[in-house]
Amino acid sequence: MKKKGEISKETLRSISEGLTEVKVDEGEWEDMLIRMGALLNDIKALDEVELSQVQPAFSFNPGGEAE
Amino acid sequence: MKGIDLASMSINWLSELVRKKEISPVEVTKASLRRIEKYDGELKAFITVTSEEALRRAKKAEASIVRGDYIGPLHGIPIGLKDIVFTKGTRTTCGSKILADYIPPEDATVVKRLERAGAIIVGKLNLHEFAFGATSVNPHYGTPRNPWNGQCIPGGSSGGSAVAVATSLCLGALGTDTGGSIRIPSSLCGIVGLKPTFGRVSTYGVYPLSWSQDHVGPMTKTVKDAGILLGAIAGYDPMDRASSLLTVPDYLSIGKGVRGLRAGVPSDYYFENCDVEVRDGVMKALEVLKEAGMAVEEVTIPHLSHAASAGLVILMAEAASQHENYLKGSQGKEYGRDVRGLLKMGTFITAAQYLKAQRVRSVVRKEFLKIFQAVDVLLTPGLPIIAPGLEQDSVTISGKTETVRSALTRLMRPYNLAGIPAIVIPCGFSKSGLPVALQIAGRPFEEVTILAVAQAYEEQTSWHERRPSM
Repeated sequence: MKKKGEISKETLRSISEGLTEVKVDEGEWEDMLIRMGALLNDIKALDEVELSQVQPAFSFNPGGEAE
Repeated sequence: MKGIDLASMSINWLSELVRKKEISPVEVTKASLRRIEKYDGELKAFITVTSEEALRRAKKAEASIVRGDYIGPLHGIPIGLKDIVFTKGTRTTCGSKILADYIPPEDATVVKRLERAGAIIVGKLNLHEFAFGATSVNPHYGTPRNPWNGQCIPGGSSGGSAVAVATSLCLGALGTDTGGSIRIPSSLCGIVGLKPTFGRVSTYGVYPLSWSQDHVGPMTKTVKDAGILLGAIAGYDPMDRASSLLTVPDYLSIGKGVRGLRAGVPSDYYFENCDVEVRDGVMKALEVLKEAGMAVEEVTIPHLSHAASAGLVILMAEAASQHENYLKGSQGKEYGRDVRGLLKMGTFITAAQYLKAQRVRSVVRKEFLKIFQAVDVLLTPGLPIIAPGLEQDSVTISGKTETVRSALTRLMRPYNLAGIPAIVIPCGFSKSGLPVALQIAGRPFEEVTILAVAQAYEEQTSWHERRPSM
């Protein structure tokens, strides 16, 4: 039973498809929810790193600091 | 010369015979093609074998050498290419159904360089679909067989390359490595695999998986052979915007020993949740290097445990971007189930999450560069496990269960994230006869140092001489 304010899997799926424009089949969606849990753990783990003064590694220089 | 036994030969050894005209490149190439014909039906290492073109080039190489125009140690040597490296006029499937009939209009830079060095390309090697996976289980072309135990995975994504080299179907191969894809199958198949520094080897003409983490590198039976192949493919390429201008050193001048070198062992991360047989094998390898004169000390890299997470988030987002058009189009249904699922998941990563991962990458890279002020190399296990079974989804080490994917990649990803060079070499076998690997990482662009350490270890041991029974 869906609680008040809780989004159903179907709604979540259609929002995701709308945002990404990538169609997900019924069977795949169940698989992905499980895998997404693992990915979300990885994403969450990044919160543990202090990044307030850190820029992204966009300018990642292949010569590195050796150049 | 008849009956060449490629199984007992390295590139370095064979090239001397070719140079002295004791063996013809045609005979060597024929020996390679015979082995492919005999064994590859079962091994499934190759997707495409280029017999005619290989023999044509071998005859050309033979004529050159007879004329006295010997080019160097790859002249007339049979080499395989992971089938994600573009070859002009020869199909490049990327292990996928989507590109099953794709014939590239030009060669990748590394192919041009190999051919310039006189290498004979004997075919295109099997892989995990689009290099997006660590097992090489491939629903479209079959799964390459681990030559040490056919019921185990060969590792991936460059599984075909590792199997072909381990079984001497060719003398060396190129693989690609975004989260361990050279080093994982090399570890599981008992060969040498080298992921160079980011920017050292051009990725132009190699189908991208994650632009900021993709590397191309050699897979061989010996350390010296890895140096030979790296020397041929390394160097600036204006077609690759990440390519480095730094001069390419002589990778053949390795072998000066390890006396005076300092090694760091980040035990808290790399030996956590590590199979006992792997740990024992690597600890013995450290003792060998200590006895050879290397100073070994414990080191700590504070955010190492976050490196694998950041690397995965970046990989997922960049791969989803690269594959966006296929995913949205009719080809979306032609992916294998696991790769399609991963790519679709990648589309859910937000820009903010991707940028956070890139910021963590800055932190991790800085920490690596700091540690390399204190030590010359890092010594770790290649993988925390020996080869898992073909159908296995998870592994349990010391009571802790994790997915096979996580176990295969967590010790590898930090070096892709930081873009630093790393090599794996065999350092033992489990009781069940499966290879164990030592991993050596070094400062950016100091492949010479990691090759020297690997060479010193190889000279003291004979693990690299073991061959799977065919």
